[in-house]
Amino acid sequence: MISYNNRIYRLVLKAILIAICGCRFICDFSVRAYCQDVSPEKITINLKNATASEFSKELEKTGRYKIFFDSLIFDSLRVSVAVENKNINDILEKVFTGTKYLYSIDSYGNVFLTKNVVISTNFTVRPNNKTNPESDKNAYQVLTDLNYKASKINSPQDASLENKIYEIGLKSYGSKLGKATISGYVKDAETGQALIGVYLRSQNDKNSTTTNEAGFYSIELATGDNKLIISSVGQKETFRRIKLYSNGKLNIDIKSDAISLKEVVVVQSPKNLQRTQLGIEKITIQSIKQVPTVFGEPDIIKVLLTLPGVKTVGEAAGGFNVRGGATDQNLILFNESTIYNPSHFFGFFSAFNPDLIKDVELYKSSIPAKYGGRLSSVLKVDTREGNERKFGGTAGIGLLTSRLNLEGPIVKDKGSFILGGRSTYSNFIFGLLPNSAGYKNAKASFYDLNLLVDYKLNDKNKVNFTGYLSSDASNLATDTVFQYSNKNASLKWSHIFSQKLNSSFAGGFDDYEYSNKAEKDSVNSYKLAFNIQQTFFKTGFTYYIHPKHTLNFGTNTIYYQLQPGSFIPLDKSSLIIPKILENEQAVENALFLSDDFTLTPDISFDLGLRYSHFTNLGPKLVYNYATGLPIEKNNLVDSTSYRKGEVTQTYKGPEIRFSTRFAITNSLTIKAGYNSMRQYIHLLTNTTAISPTDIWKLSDKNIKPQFGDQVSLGIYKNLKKNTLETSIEIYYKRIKNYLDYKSGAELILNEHIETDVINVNGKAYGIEFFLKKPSGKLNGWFSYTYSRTLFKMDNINAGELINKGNYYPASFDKPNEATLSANYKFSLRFSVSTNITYSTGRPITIPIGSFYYAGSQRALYGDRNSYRIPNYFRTDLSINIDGNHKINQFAHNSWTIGVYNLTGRDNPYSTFFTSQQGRLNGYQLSIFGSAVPFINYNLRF
Amino acid sequence: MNLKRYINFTRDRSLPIFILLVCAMLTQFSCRKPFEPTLNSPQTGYLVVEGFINLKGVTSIKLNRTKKLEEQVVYKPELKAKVQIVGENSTIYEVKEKTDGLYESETLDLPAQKYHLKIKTADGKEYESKLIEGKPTPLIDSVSWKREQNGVEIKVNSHDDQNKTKYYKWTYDEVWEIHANVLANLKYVKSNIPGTNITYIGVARRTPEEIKQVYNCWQYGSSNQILLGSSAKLSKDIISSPINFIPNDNVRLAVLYSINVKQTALDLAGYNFYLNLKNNTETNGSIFDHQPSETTGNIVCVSDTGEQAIGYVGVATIQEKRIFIEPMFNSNYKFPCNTDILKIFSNQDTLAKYAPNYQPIDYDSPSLQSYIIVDSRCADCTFWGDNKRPPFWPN
Repeated sequence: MISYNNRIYRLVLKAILIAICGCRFICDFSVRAYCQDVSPEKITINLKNATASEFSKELEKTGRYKIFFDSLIFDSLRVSVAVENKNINDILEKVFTGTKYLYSIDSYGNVFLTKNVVISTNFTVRPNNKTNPESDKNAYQVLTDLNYKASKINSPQDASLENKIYEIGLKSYGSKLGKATISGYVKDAETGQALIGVYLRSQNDKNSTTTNEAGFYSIELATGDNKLIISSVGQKETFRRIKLYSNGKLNIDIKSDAISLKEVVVVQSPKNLQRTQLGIEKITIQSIKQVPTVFGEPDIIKVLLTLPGVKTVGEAAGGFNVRGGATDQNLILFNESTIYNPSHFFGFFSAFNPDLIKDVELYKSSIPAKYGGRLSSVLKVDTREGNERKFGGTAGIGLLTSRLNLEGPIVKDKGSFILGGRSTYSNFIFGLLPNSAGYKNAKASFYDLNLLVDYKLNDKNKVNFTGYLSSDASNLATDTVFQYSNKNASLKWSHIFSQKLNSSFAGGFDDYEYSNKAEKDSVNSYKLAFNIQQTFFKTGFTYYIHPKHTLNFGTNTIYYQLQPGSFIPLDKSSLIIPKILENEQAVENALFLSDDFTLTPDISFDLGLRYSHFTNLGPKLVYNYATGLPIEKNNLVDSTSYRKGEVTQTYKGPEIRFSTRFAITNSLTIKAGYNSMRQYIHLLTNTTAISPTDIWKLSDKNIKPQFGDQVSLGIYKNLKKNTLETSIEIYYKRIKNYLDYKSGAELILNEHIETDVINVNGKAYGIEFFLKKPSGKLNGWFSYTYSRTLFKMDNINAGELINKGNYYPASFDKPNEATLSANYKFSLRFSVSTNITYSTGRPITIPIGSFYYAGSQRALYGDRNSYRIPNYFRTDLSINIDGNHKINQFAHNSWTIGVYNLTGRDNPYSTFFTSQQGRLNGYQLSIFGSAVPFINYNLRF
Repeated sequence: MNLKRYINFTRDRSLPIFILLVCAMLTQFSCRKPFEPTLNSPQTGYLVVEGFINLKGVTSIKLNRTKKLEEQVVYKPELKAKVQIVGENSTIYEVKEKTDGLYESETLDLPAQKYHLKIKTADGKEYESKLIEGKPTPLIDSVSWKREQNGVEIKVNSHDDQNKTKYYKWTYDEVWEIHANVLANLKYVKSNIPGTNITYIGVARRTPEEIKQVYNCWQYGSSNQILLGSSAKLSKDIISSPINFIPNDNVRLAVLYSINVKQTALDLAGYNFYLNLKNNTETNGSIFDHQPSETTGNIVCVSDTGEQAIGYVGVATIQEKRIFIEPMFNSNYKFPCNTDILKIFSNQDTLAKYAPNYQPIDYDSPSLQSYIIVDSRCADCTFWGDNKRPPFWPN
C-alpha cells in the first residue's frame, strides 16, 4: 500500500519537476536523493558498527536535521563511517551506496530513510519561498488542480501524509474569511477504523479538539497555512499541513504505533494535562495484554485493579470497587450496552474478549453528563472495528480458555465485521483431577460471543451493531447447576448534521439472568431464576457552537423489567411449592447538557447538568409500613395494589457534573471537580463476594434511590517531555442511602425485601498517587492509594444500630494499596512484565468469643468489620515473546509465559467460623495458595 | 421449610466449594488453614447478664462470662457478685446468689416506678442496666396445639386490651413421660456382706412400685431458641405465635408431653436486642451467608466504660401456662439399645459378667433357675430420664 502510494507520488513529482524545470532545486537529479535548497550543514561524524538509531542520533546532534526511519526495516543496518566537515548528502551517500537503503531530505531538514523506495519531498515547498515565487506558484497550481478534481466528487480528502499540503475549501474565497471550520474522521491507516479521543490542535491558533465516539472532529482555524498536530494514545504524534480557504472536510489517516519508532522521541499527547476532567484512566489493549494475569488470559478488570482507587475484596470476587463504591455502583458499558455481570466463573475471568477491545476508559471522578444511573464510576469498554480492507483473524490458546476471532470488510472501506468467541475446556481439567479431590463429576463451562458490525452509509451516516452473549454453567460437583448469562444487542447510528453539529442515536436491549437448577433428586428438583431486562434509547448531540464552547446534550431512556425471583419445581414428581415474586418495572429518563468551555488555552471548564427521573410502574402490590417504626415485617400495616402502568413511586433530581482545569505551566496543571450522581437500581447481596444468587432490585416506595457526590482535586505534572506523567488526586465522597443488610437478612424470594435492608450513609476519602510512563523500553505505572470507606447507621428508628451508630469500615476498605505494573522491552520481540500488589487486608467481622444465653451457646461478634484478614501481597511475572515481524508471512504468533503469585504467598481470601464438637473453630480460605504457572499462545492472521 | 433449605444451600455452599475446587485444581494443597485471630477479648471475659426484673414474683438473674473461642468449657458462671434491684427512688432489693451463677430475689411485689439492676462483680467492677419503666405482661390466653402432617405445632396466644404490650418474648420448659422398651419384673439382689468382691448374688421380683421406678421416667427440655413476637403492625394487640414443633416420631409424643410457656413483655429496645441476637446466632451458616453484627444491650460497666457487657435486663411481669399433650396414636417409640434377649442361669460368674449392663426382666423357667436378661438400656428408663414424678404430673 505504502509503496504503491509512493510510486504514484513519484510520478506526480516527476510531472511537477518537469513543469518547473527552471527551479533551482534540481541540483542533483540522481535516483538516490533530492537535495535541499539551503546551504548544507557541515558534519563531523565517527561511528563504528553503529545501529541506525545511533547513526540518526549523531546526525540529529547538529540540530539541523530530524531523521525518520522505520526501525524494523533498519534493525539489521550497521553503520561504520568516519568523515569530517561533510554535508549530509555526502554522508548519506557514503553510508548507503551499494545498499538497498535510500534517503531523501526535505527543505525543513527532515531526513527520510527508506528501503527500496524513496520518499518524495518536494510537496513541502513553502509558497513564500523568496527565491522563485513564480515557479512555486506553478507548483502549487498543479497540486491544487489535483485536489480540485478530487473535491469535485464531493468527497473529503483522505490525508495520510505529513509533508503534503492539503488544500481545503473553495479557493475562490481566498483567505478573506479569516476563520473556517474543518471536520472529518480520524482513522487508522491500516484498518480504516475510526479513532476515538484523538487530540488535534492547531499549531498557529492553539485551538484544539478531540474526536468523538465516531472518530469525528470539527475544529475552527484561521484560514491560510496551518499545521494540525494529531496525537493519541497508541499512535505516534503526527501532523498534517493544510491550506485553508473555507469550510471543508478532511479525513485523517494515521498510522498505528504498534511498532513504535523507538528512537524517535515520541511526544505523547499531554492529554492528562489538556482535558478538563479528572479521575479518568484510559488503558489501551496493548497495556492490558502486557499485564500478567492468572491463567494468562488478558483481563480488563484485573488490570483495572492495578489502577489507583480501584479495589476488590479478593481474587475470586466478581466486580470491583471504585473510590469506596460498591460493586453495583459501576456502570459497565460495552459499546452502548450495559453489562450486569461482567465475569465468568463467578469472577475469575472478565467476560470481555481481549481481542475485540480497543481500549478501556474508567471514569472515577468526572463522569460526563451523558452517563448516569450509577454512583461510583463508568467503565467504558470500547471495541475496535473490523478491518475494512482485508480479511483476517486472531486466535489464542490458553490453559483454560481458547478464543477465535474473524474479521473483515463487508464492503471494502465502507463496512466491516468482527465475530469473536471464547470458550473454556475446564471440564477436561476436572477429569484430570484425582478421584480423592471429589470433583469427578464437576462441570464448569462458559463462553462468550461477540458480533460487531460497522457500516458507513455515506460521509454523514454510519451505523454500528454490537451483539454480545456470555453464558456460564457450573455444577461444582454438587447436584445444583448454576447458570447465568448476559445477552445484549445494540444499534447505533451516528449522523452528522453539519460540520458543527453531529449526533448519535443508540437503541438496544440488555438482558441478564440466572437460573440455578437442582435436578438429581426428583422430589426436590427445582429451578430458581432471576431475570432483568432493559430496553434503552439514547441520543447524544455534540454542537461545536463556538471555538470556545462545545455543547453536549441529549437524552437517555431506560425501561426496566425485572423478574425478581421464581422458585418452581422442575418436574412433576417434585414436591417443591412454587413461589414466584411479582415482576417489577420502571422507567428511568434523563436529560443532559454540558458545555466544554475553554476560556483561554490555560483555563477551561466542563459544566454539566443531568436531570434524572425515575418512575416505578405497576402492576405491583406495595406494602405499607407504620410510619416512624423500623421497616420490619412486624410493622407492616397494609398494602396498596397498583394497576398496570400506574405509577407507584417517582424519584427525580438534578445531577451536577463540574470540572475545571488551570494550566500553570506547559507541564503542570491543576484540576478540580464536583460530581453528583443518583442510582435507582441496586444489587442485593450481603455476601462479601458477588454470588451466583445475587439479584438486582429497582427503587420503589420502600427502597430509596442512592445518592452520592464527590469533590476532587488533582495536580498533574508531566516530566521529561511528557514521557513521564505524574498525578496526585484527592477526593472526598458522600454516599446516601447505600443499602446495607440487617443481620440474618434473607434476600432471595423475599416479598418484603425492604424489611431486610437498611439505608446507611457513608463517606469515602483518599489520596491517589500515580506515576505513569506510557512508552519507552521501560513502561508501566506505579500507584499508591491511601483511602478509607466508612459507613454509618445511626438512625435508631431504622432498627438496631451498627457499631453503636459510629462509622464502620466497608468490607472493601483497604487503606493502603500500592501497585507496580511494569513492562520492559528487551527487543521488539521480547518483553518482560511484572505486577506487584500490596494492600491492607480487608475488614471482617469475627466472633471474639462465645457466651451462653437463652439456652444456647452463642457467638460473640465484635464490632462490624473491626478485624482484618492478613495483608495481601502478590507478585506476577510474565514473558511475552513475539514471533518475527515479517510482513508477508501468513500468521504472526506470540507466546506469553508466566507465573501468577510468584512468591507463592498464601493470601487469605476470607475467614469463617464453624461449630465442631461443641467448639467454634475459625478457618481462613485462600484461593491461590502457591505459585501458578501459565502459558498462552496467540495467533494473528 | 424446603424452600429455605434449598436457598441456603445454593448460597452458602457454592463459593466455599468453588474455592476448594480451584485450590484442588491448581495446587493440590489444602487452601483451608486454621485461622486464629489475635483478639482483645479479655481473659476474664465480658459479663453476660440474662434475666429481667420481675415486678411480681422472684427475679432470677443468670450471670456468666463470655469465653474465648478455644476454651472447652460451655458455661462460665460468674460467682460472688452482688446483685441489686434499684428503684428510681433508690429503694434497694437484694438479689442473692444461689448456685452456678444464678441469683434470685425474694418474692417481691414492686411498686410502680422505674427500676434497674446494679451488679458489683467479685473483681470490683460495677455494672448497671438502664433505668426503665416496668411493663406488665398480659395473661397467656392459651397454649394451643395442632397436629400437622409431620408432627405437632404448639402455639401461644395472647392479647392486650390496652394495646400497650406489642413486643413479646417466650421461653418454655417441657417435660414428657417416657417408658422403658420392656417391663422389668425382676431386679438384681445385691450382696450385703461387706468385704467380698461379689456384688450380685441373685435376682428377685420387683414390687409394682419398683417396676414403675425403671419403667416410668421423665425427660426435661427447655427452649434454646429465642422466641419473639410483635403485634406492632396490628391495630389490635393480639398475638398468636408458633413456639415449638414436635415431629411425629419424637420421643416427646410417646406417652405424655407437657409444656409450660412463660411470657414476658418487652420494650422496643429489648425486642431489637433479642432479634439481633437471634439473627446473629441462630441463622448463621457460614461467612458467605450473613454478615454478623455485634451484640449490645442495655448493660453498661459504670466503673470502666471501656468494658463491654452483654445482656438486656427489662422490667416486666411474667405469665405462665402449662398444657399437656397426649399422643393421638399408640407410639411405638423405642430407645436405641441392643435388642438381643439372653437366657442365663443364675450363678455368680454369669451375674458378674452381665450385671449391671444387662437387666433381668423375667424368669425363663418355672424352676426360677434361669431368667431372661436384656440390655439395661431397653429395660431401665433411668438410662434416659429421671424417675422422679413431677409434682404436677397427672396420674
